Amino acid sequence: MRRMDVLLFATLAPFSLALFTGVLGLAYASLIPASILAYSLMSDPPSGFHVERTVEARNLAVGRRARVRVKLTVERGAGLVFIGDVVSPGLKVHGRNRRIFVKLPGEVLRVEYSYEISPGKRGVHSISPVEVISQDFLGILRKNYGIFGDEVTIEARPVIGSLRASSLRSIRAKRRGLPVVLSRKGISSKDFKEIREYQPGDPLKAINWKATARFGVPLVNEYEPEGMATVMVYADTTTDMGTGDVFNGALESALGLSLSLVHTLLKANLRVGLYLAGSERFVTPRTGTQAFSSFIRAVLSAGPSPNPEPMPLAVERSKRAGKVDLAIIITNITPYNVSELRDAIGNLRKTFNCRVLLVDVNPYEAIDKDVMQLSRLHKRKLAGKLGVPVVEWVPSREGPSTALKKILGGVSLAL
Amino acid sequence: MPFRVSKNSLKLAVLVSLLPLAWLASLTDILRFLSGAIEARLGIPVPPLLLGIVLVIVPVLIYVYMTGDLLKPFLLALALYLLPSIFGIDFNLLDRYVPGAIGLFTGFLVALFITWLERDVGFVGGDESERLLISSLREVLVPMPLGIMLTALLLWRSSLGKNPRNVLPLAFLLPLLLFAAVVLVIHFKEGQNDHVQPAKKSYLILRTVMKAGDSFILDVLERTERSVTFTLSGGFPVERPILLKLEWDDKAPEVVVLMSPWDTQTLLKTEELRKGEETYFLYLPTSRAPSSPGIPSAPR
Repeated sequence: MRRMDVLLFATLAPFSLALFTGVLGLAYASLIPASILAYSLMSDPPSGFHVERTVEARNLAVGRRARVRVKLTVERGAGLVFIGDVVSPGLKVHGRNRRIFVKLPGEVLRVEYSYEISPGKRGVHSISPVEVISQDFLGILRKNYGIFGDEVTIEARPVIGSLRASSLRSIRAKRRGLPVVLSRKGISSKDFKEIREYQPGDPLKAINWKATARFGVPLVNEYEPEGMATVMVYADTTTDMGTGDVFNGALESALGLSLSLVHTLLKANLRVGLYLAGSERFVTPRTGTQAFSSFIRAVLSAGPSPNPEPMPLAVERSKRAGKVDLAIIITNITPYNVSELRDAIGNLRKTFNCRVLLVDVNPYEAIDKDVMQLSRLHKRKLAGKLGVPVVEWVPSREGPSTALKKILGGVSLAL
Repeated sequence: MPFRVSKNSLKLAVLVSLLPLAWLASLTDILRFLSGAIEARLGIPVPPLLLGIVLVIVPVLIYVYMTGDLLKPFLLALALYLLPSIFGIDFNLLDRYVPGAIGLFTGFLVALFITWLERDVGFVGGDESERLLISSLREVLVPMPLGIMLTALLLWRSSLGKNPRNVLPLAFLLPLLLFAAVVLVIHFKEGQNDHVQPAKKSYLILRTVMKAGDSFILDVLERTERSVTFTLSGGFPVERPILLKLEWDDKAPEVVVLMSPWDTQTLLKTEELRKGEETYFLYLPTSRAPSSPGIPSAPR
């Protein structure tokens, strides 16, 4: 029953009851709801809204906060004003983004409130336009509705785990015989890479005189070093990776690790490529830390994709990568995908004649410790059938840096 | 410490309006007998009215304390109070019965308003919800003194509802009807003078809750004369609220279908809003909406 009907009924019922029972005095009880009904009909619900919203930052790292400020002005009417916006689930709201204000008759309501947002995961998140709904105090009249501003998108960069240079050096040192692969400089090829500032020790013939004259600082041409190893990272973003919650599930861990790995390998001067299986996104192998933004863009709004793109198909689609020395597959090994992984490893060896390293993400500790232990035993058994080195990673136990160390140890060994 | 009205103290105050029921109960044989029995057994004289208060208000107090629901006890109390009037009430009791009924009914109204406001501002929670409720209730009750004043005047004229000749004076009816007519005219006049400007921009406002990706990409899948189907692809599946504002350069569709890989929602055009030169078409989910526009039960 609508509220207006209830109030009308409350106004007429005592009158009818008085006639029905003969106790005519009961009819007086109609006067009080009648006075309230009359007052409500004479007043209008709040209207004449003006809303202004400012968002402090639109590019944030996961976990960092930004303040959202909203100014509301209501010019006419009296009643309750509901204001708020809808924040996508990947953004955490600190404070309240939905509010109610009381608009009194004869006064202009001017209020300002703020709240904070922080991305809980990487991606392109959104804050909807501001929605304002107003009603009279009893909610018996027509509601007023307004929508203000446009959708605001917040790009959340994942937190990149990285290793200190000393860790990289120690890994390199342990694997003697592989210095070219992990060295910051190899023999220069004829492939131009970038123009950078002169550093002591740079040969004079590398100086770019035109650029130096234009910018007034000594600049040198840098060329791709020869003999650089190429590493292809395959991250599984299919629905199989949808295990765990939206913030710390298998997918988020896998993508976070992929980016950390790519970043570290680029820093180590390797050629790195990335394929997101399921999302059909391919970043062809490239070098230099400047290339990292391409990887971030690819990963930002990836998966879990309902698109069934098995790993062997992903390998097939990444043929353009050219020469690949090492392929790293990041996935969650289950009895359902183990045969696909075996095929993918076979494909990789056949197509690129490369070594393969597999990173097995175990997200089950978030569900239960016993489940995690059992799955670990099962996963080891399954991994044994794959015939490649497998790095186990339990994200809830070990940070990305620990996983990186394990993987880089494997990289050095594999290369 | 300054006295601060809280939601609970407000509810307790409203419970005082149950006194007329306690008084009516005290007139029953059961309470008279109980009162006599207590006095005979314990030697303590307990007036039936006191017993009525204990037996009526205390259980209600406990019920309200435990459930927070104020409306149901009041509805029951009103029904119990009005029941004797159907079978006929002693003429000598009318001067107390009628004011009692008005008091109880007023209490019921306040309980009703508290329940409505609680429902409206409840999601805020805490002190703010209480503050909003009290300031709203204060505004709602502004016209109440006028009603009480008129009621008191009529009660006085009719010797508290006992004098049948003056109970419903027609002289009061004319100004009341005039007042009602003015109110209705003022109410329906609103919006008549609004100058409607031609719309330059149209927007679709889509509002629903469904399982979709936490960050999705919106694409048009199918567009017909009456409906548009959007796909929401990508992201981690999660049950989430959706509020989308989409610029629309064509005739607004009657039905909008939102399809994510995990859920499908059908939204119907429920409202058309004008703001200056912009038109907004509001689409909300409805239980009447078919799961597919191809179903013959689709609204035409």
